[in-house]
Amino acid sequence: MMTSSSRARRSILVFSVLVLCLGAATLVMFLLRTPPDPREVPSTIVTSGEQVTTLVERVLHPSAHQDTQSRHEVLPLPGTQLRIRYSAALPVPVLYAVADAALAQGYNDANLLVSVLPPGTNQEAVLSLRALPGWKPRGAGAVLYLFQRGDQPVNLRTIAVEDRGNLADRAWSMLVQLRRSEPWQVSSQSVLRGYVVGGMSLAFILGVGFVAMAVLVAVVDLLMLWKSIREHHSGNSSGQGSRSSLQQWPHPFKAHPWMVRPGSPQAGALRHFLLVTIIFLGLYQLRFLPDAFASSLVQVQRWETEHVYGGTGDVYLAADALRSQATLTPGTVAAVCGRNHGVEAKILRYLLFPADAFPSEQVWRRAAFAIATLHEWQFYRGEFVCDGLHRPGTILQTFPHGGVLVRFSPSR
Amino acid sequence: MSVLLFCLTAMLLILEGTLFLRIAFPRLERAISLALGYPIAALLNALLFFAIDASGLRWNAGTIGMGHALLVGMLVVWLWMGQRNREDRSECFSGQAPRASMPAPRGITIFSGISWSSFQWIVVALCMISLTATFFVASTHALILPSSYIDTVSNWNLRSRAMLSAGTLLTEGVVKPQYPILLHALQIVFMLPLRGWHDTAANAATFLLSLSSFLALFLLVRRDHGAFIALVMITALTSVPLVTVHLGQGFGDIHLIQYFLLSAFLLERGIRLEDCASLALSAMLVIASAWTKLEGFYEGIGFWFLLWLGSSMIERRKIPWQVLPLFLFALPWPLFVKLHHMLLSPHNRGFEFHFSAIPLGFFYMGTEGSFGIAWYIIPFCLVILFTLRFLKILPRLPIPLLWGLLAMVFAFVIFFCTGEVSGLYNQESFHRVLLAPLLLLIEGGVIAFVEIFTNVADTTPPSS
Repeated sequence: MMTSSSRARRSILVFSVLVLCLGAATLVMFLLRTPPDPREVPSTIVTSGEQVTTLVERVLHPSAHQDTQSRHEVLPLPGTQLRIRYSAALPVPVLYAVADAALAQGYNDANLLVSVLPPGTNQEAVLSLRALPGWKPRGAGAVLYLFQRGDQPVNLRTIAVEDRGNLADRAWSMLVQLRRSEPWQVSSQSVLRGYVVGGMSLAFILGVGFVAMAVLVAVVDLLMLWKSIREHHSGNSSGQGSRSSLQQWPHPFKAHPWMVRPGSPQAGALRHFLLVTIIFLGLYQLRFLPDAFASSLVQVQRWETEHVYGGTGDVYLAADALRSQATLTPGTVAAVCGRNHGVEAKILRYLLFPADAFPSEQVWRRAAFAIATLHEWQFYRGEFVCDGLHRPGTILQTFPHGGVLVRFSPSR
Repeated sequence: MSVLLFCLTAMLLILEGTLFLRIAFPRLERAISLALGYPIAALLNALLFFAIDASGLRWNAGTIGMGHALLVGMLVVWLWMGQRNREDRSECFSGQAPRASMPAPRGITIFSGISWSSFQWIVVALCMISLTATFFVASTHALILPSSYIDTVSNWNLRSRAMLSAGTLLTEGVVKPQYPILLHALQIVFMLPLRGWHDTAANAATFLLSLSSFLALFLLVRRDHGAFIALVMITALTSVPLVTVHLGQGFGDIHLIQYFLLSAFLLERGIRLEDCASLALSAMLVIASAWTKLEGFYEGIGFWFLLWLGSSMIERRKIPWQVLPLFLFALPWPLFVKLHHMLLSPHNRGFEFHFSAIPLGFFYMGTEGSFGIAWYIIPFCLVILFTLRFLKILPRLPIPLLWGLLAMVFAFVIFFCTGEVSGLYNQESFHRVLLAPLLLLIEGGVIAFVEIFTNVADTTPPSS
């Protein structure tokens, strides 16, 4: 009969062989993959709409009169990368996703990448589709948005979908997709979108893996239980004196409280189930916690150095500046400009209390101050212009990410 | 200076709560009293704020300081004069003293028999790593980074700030004024010595509530089931990814859940050991949940009553009515809301069945990152536990498990059968609301498995 220590040794051996096989497969994938295209441009996963706006603002520096425009391209062919030939005076922010015809906007907004193409004449850049968490070998193509300033349009010559790379390359890509961070939007903590690998959610993959493994373990344990019951019966009928400790005990399903006892198949089955649970929970934690840890460190570093948190630009700097330069009373109102002014107005309303902050179009005429947290504003002939509105005012302070604090001249 | 004042206020609250617990529950271990001191003090503080407002006084350093000084003074005098009620309060079930303790599972013996000690130490190490990372992430968002979560800045912290400024309860001019005031009172009491609003202190005050609640749960579980089980349970609870996020800057929901978890564990203990002290403490904690968020009334007190009465009737025990008067402390807030002609819930919507929301809800539960793989494990555990209950291997289903099932059914009814379905479609509230049932199910599941393995450890083979 197998002793407990030999069972433990066997378990450790099986586990080690499994880990070694996985490691070897990963190494083979790594060695056989094709090297990345030298023209490939690095990309970042999109975690919030504000992130895209901030990037576009930071790269294009548009003023109120130089509105940003986006060009929308749908590329229906499946492939591994996009090759873009273009000419542009300014860097070109691009947003791209795997096409999904089932969704209203044509793509899944949880699987978006953002990148910046370098400026220049007759440029050629490659965007890796495989870097998209939703990418799969037989996918439905891609959707691409190019952002440009109204006065500096991009001369787009060709966009081609290319299918490049071998099987190891594709498998490696799916593995690399796991490196993509969890899209975690700090202003809305109601949901975590999770990780996507090969177009499938990691929670789903591990969940199905858990179910499969738990069922497998349950079947094996049930077979062992069945065997022990048969042995018990045969032992009873033969009346032999030397019975195993298992056989000394009553029928597994008829006696209480010895039905789940040390060494019994039932106890073993429960242990196996708990082990499988711990392993699969641990696998998800292994991905999530380092990600959350790293993202928190990055957020803290940005906050300590730039006083920026989330995708809200200079909102905290602007609030501090207004607090230091004006006495805020319950009647004081600030108008908030820009594309994210809904979210920013809510944050500013809290930071500026007892003063109030609202999106520009709601309070433009009665506001005493205006705050823009990004570049979407202009000062033109003594008037502050943003969101298509204009009013005379004075700039009190500008901020590193393009934001501005303006005191309006009293309305006549 | 701000840090010092914050620490002094926190220590005062912990002292207040601990003194109260030492007087009301003299048999409670000192460490548990200390850990539970802050969550209980948060309830006492909310009641004090409400009483001061009801008596027409304004909230300021003078009135609130006097109130707390009076409370602490009374508690100290009570303790000093030996007025502790030394008679055994636990006789409310059957006139007999409670059982000495839970059957001890010998801590780290779950995987005994296959030389599992090294495996268990690996599990302990993994739990410690997981907990450290979780609380590091949470602490950076609570203590270093500013408020950014929309629910925080447009509801919870903004209401607190407006009430601090007004020095009174506000029924107008703030969003959702019908929400109870435990968190607001807790934040404001820290602001009074700081003489103004301090965002970090406000978030730190509620983060301390999370820390102390989980510490108290750890100590309570350790007392009954050993340190290993306690560690595994706390790790399992905090391993849900959305919990990690909400521990940082989530408001309302996470604190509500913490009170539910503590109350459910003590209700289980109270019923199982026929211990009236645990039952009374459980009642106090569920009352605190009702002062934290409106859901505490129906998902907390409502289910508490259902389980308390149900288990007593099913197991044909004498119903311990002595705890009932405690619930009078939960009534002032709904009465206040009704007297001011406000709706008890800002989410009142009519009944309408949304068939299409059902697959979407299950899709979100199984594929998004909020819950990790928890919703794959829970059904499996439920099947096993119900089977073992059917076979009478598991003597009874733990209260937290039943509470979690009730809360889950309730959440499904809310999202699939009312206008709240919008919270599922736009994913604004669905995931947050499902956290309470999930965490209660995890707590109940751990207790149930421990009970099964306790039978394993305590059972010796019969002599042949």
